[in-house]
Amino acid sequence: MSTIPEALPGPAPRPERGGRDSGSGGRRGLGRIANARIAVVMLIAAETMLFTGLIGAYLVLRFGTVVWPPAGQPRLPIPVTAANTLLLFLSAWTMSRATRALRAMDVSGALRALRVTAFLGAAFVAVQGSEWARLLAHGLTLGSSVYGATFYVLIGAHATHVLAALLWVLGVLFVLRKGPITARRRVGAEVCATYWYYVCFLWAILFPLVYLV
Amino acid sequence: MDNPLMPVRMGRLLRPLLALVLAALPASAFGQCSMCGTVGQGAEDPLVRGMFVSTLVMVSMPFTVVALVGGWFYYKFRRGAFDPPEQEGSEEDRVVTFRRD
Repeated sequence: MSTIPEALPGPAPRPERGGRDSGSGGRRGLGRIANARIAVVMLIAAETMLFTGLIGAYLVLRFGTVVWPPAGQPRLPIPVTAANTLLLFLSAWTMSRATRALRAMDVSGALRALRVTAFLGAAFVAVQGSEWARLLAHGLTLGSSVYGATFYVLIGAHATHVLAALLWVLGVLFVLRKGPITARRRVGAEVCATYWYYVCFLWAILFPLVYLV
Repeated sequence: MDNPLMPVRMGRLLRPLLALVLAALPASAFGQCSMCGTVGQGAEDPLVRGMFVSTLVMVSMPFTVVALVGGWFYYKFRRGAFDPPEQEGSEEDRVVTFRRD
């Protein structure tokens, strides 16, 4: 008896990995969370501790000063910043539209929503920058007082994070334009969305704390 | 279906957690350090009060973060909302089969 191969020899089939690494985590095991998701959760946890330290320092200096804001310092532009806040929250909504479109495999809808998100994020940063320029012209600088120092450090740290998130969104846009939506690209876009939501949530904490209280 | 990593039902964890949160709420939680209160002008000194509030925020944050991250993992496993396995190549492997004459 001889054995005749029906097909040309090729690489041996990869053994199916069971247990933890298999598919949907039904009867076979515990399921899988993408490494990118775990990474962004760890990143957000670390960023939270960073902002907690900054906010803690702000609270000590804020409560330690009897008159706040100190006399002679310009007042913060609350109406403009409130409108800017709405822009940022609107960008969170458009980002959710983008992820929903990705799940529905609607590439053009996702790209459109991502472009609007990037535009709103850029508008937020631009308005913040213009308000900073006005405050600097009116004498509120890093060295002018504790008020100026805490303002620029806290809000500047947030603005840096918004800029980084914006670059990330642009990167996701570039990747999604290149080809079809694969599972990996979808997870990458969702992870970017998670970080965008976090940046918006941070502003929801910082705006009342720095501008309104 | 019971997850072997989560043998305890959520309700039994919530009660001690709630007790912990309620224990931290009274005003005495704001007076963490009596030495800080005496070095300043007492607990009514704005700087001391600021330090107390700041300490409360900073010390509670790691617990909050760990609880949220843990809750997220629990939610993912409970809901079974997992990601598809990563595919290491787009082509199917060629399989060699043998037939006997």
